[in-house]
Amino acid sequence: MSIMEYNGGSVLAMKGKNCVAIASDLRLGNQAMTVATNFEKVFPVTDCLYLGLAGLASDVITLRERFRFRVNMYTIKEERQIEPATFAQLVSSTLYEKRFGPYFVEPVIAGISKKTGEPFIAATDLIGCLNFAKDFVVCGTASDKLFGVAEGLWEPDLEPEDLFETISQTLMNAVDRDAFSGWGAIVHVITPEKVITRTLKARMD
Amino acid sequence: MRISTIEGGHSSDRGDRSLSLCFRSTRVHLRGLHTRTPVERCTDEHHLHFSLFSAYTQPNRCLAMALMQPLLADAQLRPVGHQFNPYSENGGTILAIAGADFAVIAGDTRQTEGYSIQTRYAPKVFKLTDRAVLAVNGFQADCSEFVKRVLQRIEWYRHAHSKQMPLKAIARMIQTMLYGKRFFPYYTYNILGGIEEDGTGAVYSFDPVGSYEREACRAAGAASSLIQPFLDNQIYFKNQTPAPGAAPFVPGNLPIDVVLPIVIDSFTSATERHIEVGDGLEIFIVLAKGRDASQLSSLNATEIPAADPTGERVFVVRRDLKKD
Amino acid sequence: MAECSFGLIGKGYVILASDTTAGRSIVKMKEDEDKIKALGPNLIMATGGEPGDTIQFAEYVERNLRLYHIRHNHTLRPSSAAAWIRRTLADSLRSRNPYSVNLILGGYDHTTSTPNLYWIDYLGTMVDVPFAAHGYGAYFALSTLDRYHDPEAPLEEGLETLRKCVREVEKRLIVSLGKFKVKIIDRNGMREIDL
Repeated sequence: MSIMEYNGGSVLAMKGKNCVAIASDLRLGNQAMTVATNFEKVFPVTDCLYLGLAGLASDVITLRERFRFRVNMYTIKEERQIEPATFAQLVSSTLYEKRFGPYFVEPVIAGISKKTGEPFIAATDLIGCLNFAKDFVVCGTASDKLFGVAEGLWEPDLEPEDLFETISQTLMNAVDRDAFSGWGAIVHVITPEKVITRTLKARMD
Repeated sequence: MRISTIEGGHSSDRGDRSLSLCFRSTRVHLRGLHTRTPVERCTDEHHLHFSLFSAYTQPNRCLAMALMQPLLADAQLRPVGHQFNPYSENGGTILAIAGADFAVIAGDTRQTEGYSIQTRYAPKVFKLTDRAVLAVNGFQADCSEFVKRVLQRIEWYRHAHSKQMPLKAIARMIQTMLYGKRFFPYYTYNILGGIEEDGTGAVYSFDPVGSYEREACRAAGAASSLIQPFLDNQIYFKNQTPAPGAAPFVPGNLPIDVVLPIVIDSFTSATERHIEVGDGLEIFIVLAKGRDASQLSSLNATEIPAADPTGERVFVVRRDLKKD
Repeated sequence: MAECSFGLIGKGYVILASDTTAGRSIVKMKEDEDKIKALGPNLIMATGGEPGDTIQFAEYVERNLRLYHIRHNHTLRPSSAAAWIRRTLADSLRSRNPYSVNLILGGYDHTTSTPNLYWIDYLGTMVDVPFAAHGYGAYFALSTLDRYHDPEAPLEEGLETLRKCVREVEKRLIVSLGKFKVKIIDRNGMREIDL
């Protein structure tokens, strides 16, 4: 039994044309037993920056709160919102701080830079090794399936609605082949003007 | 050839079981050797250097081993046999998709063991009859042995019945052959594709002990977890709804010019994200009797000569995949 | 682990139920143990896990919430109390000797007039759920609750669903858990009933 697979769950983020999308499933399990089907793994950081956390659910909640605290401190001290690239470094250093007793979580970051309007996605492993991808990033128990489907469906410069369709299809088809993920899904498409959040009607088995 | 054993000599600090078994017996050999032969100095219990050549090729050392037998009575020094693992895993991936009057069976050609590439061209897809193609994946030695036996049984069938073995008969035969080795299985994942007697395209997929099923599509092997959900989406239209008023989706009915790009995309995707997949791609296409083959011309497909030129036809398309 | 507790939400109430046996190995020592602790006028908690830890932790939580009540002249809302309890467990998990306590927390939030139910385990996993179960009973009760639970059900219907769960556990679990203690929280506070 792996700690990373104890609760199950998967997160995925994709880049589009002047937009990004981030999505997660909704399952929370205790190994094979499903405990809840309303456990979101993607959280807002600012109005155009989201953070997804897959892994041990206890650490997902702890880190969500820890980042909320550290981003609030940043906002107060700097008197401005945090940039996605800066936040990625914050995530990385927060995780590396616990290098030899890590949080069992793989974060995914998706946002749009307020300064440049550039879409941004990144992911790290559980000790904070950053991966800046130009297409998509995945993590969680269905990560291999997500890689396969995303590699097949994703294309550059997708408009928000097409990006929504791509990320939704990728997530749903991947988690349908994973026993530890699924039971519903939630998708956030972030554009410079607004964030579109949709809960998907997915298989519940 | 020198093997340096890292800390693993003590049964108390075992990590990987088979690994430490190996180390322990190494240490037993060494104990025996090192008292008699100062050449093989053993300086530290935890860090041993041991020459395989000297132990196994020089007869006097083997004799020394034999003389040391009483020492081995010590519980700590009892020899532990080397675990022989009869299986290996050679990477690669295969897939097959059935159409209304054709079947596509494909596989990459890379063969790996661990992180090494053994060869960049090891075929995994084989023509069995004019209307049956078999893809095998898993442990290469078992794969080639199994294909050999299947081909022989098919030939016997032809001699006994004066006709080619039908696809569903081959499928059932494969299941009995696999189950026949239920307690020492062939480590092979088989996918059989071809044309049924009624002229429809068919895909049969098997597990290593013979459970099988006729399906519209299937991926197996190292990158099956990457490809299968993609096929669920693109072939079975999972999680898709037809546009209002449009006809419902029927899997196994897609035209060949839709299927082939899906096969190629599946393999380029798997190559991109899986280290054991790549180098070359072989796509076998079985066309039902009398079916037009003009759609294959743009793909540079070569026809494999058929025993009966008026029946089903088998084509093969060979392409490059990334080699990194 | 041969113990179990359930919780479910209905229209304006939360029901918590827990078995009442205390034992060690094969010996049953007590069959009227109250495993549902009142943490305040609007909050109750069913505990399970390591016997010493459960009582120690429940009392630690109860005293701290009481202290908050005294200091601030009002009680902590269920959601805030749940977050504090979860954090205590999550911090404890990475300490020298962690509590191994699993909890179901039920409360009535007077500010929003809603019943709340939280499933929390010893790792510090917390989720708010319409129904919850811990222990071996969960393997039987969750499917029963999936089928029969209705968050808008009146009290009598909620109790009937709970009876179905208890009956299922009595029928299918190989060990007998004895009687179940049932407590209800609603806008009028906490009360105990016989099932």
